[in-house]
Amino acid sequence: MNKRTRRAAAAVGLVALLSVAGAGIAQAGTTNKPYNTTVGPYNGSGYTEYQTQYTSGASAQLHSGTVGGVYKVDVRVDGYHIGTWTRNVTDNDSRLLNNDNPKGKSVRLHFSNDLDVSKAVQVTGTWRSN
Amino acid sequence: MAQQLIDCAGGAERPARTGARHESHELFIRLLRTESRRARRSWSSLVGLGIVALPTAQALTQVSSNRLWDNFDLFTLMMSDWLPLLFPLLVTALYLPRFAGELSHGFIRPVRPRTPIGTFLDSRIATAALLAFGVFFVAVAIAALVAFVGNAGHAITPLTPPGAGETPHPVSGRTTFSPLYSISPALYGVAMATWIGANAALWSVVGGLCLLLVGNRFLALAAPTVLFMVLQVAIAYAGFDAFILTGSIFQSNIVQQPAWYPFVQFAGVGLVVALAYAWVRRRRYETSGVE
Repeated sequence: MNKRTRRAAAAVGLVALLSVAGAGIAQAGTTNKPYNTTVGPYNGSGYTEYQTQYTSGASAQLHSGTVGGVYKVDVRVDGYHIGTWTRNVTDNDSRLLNNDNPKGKSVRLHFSNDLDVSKAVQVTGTWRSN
Repeated sequence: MAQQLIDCAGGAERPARTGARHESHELFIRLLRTESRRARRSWSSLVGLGIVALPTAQALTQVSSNRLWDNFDLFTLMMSDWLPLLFPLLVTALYLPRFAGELSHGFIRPVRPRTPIGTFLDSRIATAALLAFGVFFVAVAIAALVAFVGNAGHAITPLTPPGAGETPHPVSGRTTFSPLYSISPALYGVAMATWIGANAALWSVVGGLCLLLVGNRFLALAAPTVLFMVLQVAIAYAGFDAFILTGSIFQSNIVQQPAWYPFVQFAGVGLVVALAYAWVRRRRYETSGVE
């Protein structure tokens, strides 16, 4: 392998490495990504992984699959700007979430239980920041 | 103290030893009226005002950070978080410290020769129940008025109904009693006020009985809150989440259940209260909490 080929191979490797690392930090928010998190009891919280805001100020989309037991949870966008709470999300529930974040910022969803819920609640579904 | 004792009996004459039920009933009503009037001029008024203001005050501080679909959503916001969490504590604080004070300060001993002790103690527990029902009824009724009438022109908060791409949630399917809202918001408001008031009355009777049964006043006053919390957690962790106390009473943190579900906890607590009361009567009110 000559010097030129070695340099090309190193460049390809570096690009591949950066892509993998970048994906671990935040994914572009243009496709639905699954979440599965536990929301703690007594106003406890649960969070999704981060996504990168693709369009400034675009509403995030949530498709709630299951909310544990019979409970409801509240959810908001958490990032550079924090959105307003969307209340009482249940099973098989699609919502648009207020999201004022600028393009390129990392955002995630913040789920929360009511103050009087004494049990952790498991929530699953998909979402994208847009 | 002696004058106070005569006053507390409403100046009533002692019923005949044969205990004509009618006279005893009249005395009970007189004691109830006198004590309710007195309680209204005491610490109970301040606590009562706090309870009445709590749901509306909480909503006013939270509306800006919540997206609300409609006025029903605003009402459920008022019925969530602090009111359910503090419910047993507020029910207890409303009147029972006054009753505990009477039991603690040797108030009962001089009452015995003047008034049948059972009638006297029953009237105190009935006062607690009556005040709890009244205050919580008014608190919820005012919350419903503020949400359904006060915000009719979006005077309190703007509303953002579900749009395209969002799952519609008709009001009739949101909470256990919400089908009543579809018939009439006023009917729903009155039903919720009556329901929450009835539960407040029940838990104040729990508190009153704890004061008769437990010698230590501090423990007796703490007992309703501890019992409520323990029951709430036990029901949830036993897997019967649909029957949890706050979900049954305030219905803001769980999805819609069959209409009879909320009555299960009410009947269960009511049964225990009835058994405890029967036991106290059988002991002729000679229990640890009654000196």
